[in-house]
Amino acid sequence: MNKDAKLTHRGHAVVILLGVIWAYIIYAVVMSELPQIMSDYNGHLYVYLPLFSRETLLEGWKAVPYVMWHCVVLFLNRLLHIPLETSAAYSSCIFALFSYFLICWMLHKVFQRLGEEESLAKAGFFAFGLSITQGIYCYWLDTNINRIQGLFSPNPLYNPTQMCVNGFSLLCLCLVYDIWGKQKNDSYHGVFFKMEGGLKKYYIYLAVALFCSVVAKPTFAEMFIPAVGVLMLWNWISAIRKKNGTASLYFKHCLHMFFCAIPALAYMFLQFFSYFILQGSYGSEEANVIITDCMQVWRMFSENIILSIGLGMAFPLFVVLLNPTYFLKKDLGRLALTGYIIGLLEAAFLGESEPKLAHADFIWPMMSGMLLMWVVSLMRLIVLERTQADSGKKKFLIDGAWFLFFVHVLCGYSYIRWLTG
Amino acid sequence: MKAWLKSSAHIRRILAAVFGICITALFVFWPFSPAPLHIRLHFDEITGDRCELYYTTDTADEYSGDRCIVSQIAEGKSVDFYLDASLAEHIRGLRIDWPHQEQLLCVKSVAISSAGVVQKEFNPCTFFSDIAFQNNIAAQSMVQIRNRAYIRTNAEDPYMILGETTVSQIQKYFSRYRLTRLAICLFFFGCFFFGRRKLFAVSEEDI
Repeated sequence: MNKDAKLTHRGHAVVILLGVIWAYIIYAVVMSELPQIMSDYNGHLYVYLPLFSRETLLEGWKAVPYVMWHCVVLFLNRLLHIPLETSAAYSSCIFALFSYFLICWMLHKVFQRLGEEESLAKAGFFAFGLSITQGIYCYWLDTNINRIQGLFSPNPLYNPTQMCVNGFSLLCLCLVYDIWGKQKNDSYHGVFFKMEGGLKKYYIYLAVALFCSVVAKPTFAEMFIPAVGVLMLWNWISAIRKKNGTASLYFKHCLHMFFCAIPALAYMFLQFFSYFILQGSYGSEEANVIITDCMQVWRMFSENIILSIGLGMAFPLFVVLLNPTYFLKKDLGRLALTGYIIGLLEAAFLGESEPKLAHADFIWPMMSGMLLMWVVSLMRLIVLERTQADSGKKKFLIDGAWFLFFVHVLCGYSYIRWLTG
Repeated sequence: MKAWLKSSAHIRRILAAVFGICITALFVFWPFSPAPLHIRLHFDEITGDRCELYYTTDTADEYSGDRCIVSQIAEGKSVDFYLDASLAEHIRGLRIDWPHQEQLLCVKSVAISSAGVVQKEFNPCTFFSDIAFQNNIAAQSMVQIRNRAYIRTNAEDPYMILGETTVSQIQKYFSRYRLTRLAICLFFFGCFFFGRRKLFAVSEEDI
């Protein structure tokens, strides 16, 4: 066996080993969360899942129209006869692993692009870190900050459905990035996909991935579709102002992207209809979407939202600080930043009327935005380290960013220990 | 002409910087409404279900039920009194009521927190040595070497009224988010600075 093949095998082994560890962690988290009466896992498994019986299937769907996690649990439990709690844990493991392997694949593609072919092990380590990362928690800062809710994170391990959507979010991000590249330049060879032939195939992939994300939980699409829309609208207006004849072609691209979003939007509309009009929202009778005062919902969990943002997003914000032009000019950076800002605005101004205001269901889109910022910042830092760390000052700043990343990872580790008791 | 143009660009840059600094200073020091304040007492020993905090203000100088904050004693043996932001600079007196039972309390620490940050952590020996009045407190002892305040209470209505110095000190800790606002400005200035200096470039081939 030559050296390259050995390295490849070792890379695969590392990725798989870390995947197994990650799955075990998720299993332990689910098992420790399930007995707690107020936990999300407990609610989904013991309150909503029993509604998915033959007689009350519609009631079940109305109560929780984002059914992917529940469907997988039902499949494992009813068809494979795995005990209910274990089915819940396995189901979460499947989605967590999907997201983990996707991050591995994305980072590996980035490394390959930088000329590092044998980079699977590194990609695995970073993906593992990114999967467990949490906000920086300092118990001494304010003992009253609720560890879970004051500091939101891209990995809300306590919620089965948001963890379920993460993999599809990343897939959509990759697809949109490569589709945009191909739209701009016909000879573009994708970073994540090969982008050979026409775009039709990739539009279908995007439509399917987006639809799956909505079936998993609509929170990502609530943030992502507006973000893509805003950026494409901006590009279209810029093309019109340039008067170079590209505006009409770009408008066609905008339409194609919109068509991709139609299945997801249709299902999302149906979800909202069942949730708010048919009063399915967990059986709550008067829940409705309302415009809140600025940050009204988040203020229930944190007394200093800027501090919470800073602690939850220290690493991505530091990368933005180092290289702001990337997040303003390049597609991936702009998409992540716009997504995060739109998610933040939704968290700031949207809520559900009492008694569900404290459920903070419009903070989830921001967490999806956080995930995009985290992944893009990590990819950017990897690129910067390999291409631009040519002076002591730059190396110092890049090391500072890595330091912050690993502090987040360490906080993730301590959070998991806290969660699993 | 060229030199003049060059110097005028220089002057414009300086003016922009001065303008930026003025706006920042205005934003940081503008008297926005303050954050609420938490007074947290952590105990080594306490029994009972709740403690109460009464306060007087510049317009109402009697301790009465409508100016009372109740805090249940949490599992971790601590109480948390939440003082609304509207009370900032209006509090004149504070009275802590202990559980109505005979016991020996041991106070571990007193933390004053506002805007999500612990503003001051009092040594309980210092905190409870400045007492203006006390009722039904059988004895108290400050163990400096262990930083613990021991208070023996009687069953009927035991309370302590804090001294003026401590109250005025606590008043100061209602945060006005100045450091937070400064951090926001520094972040945006930093982005602007690094963006202009092009420390890390963005090229066409970049992902």
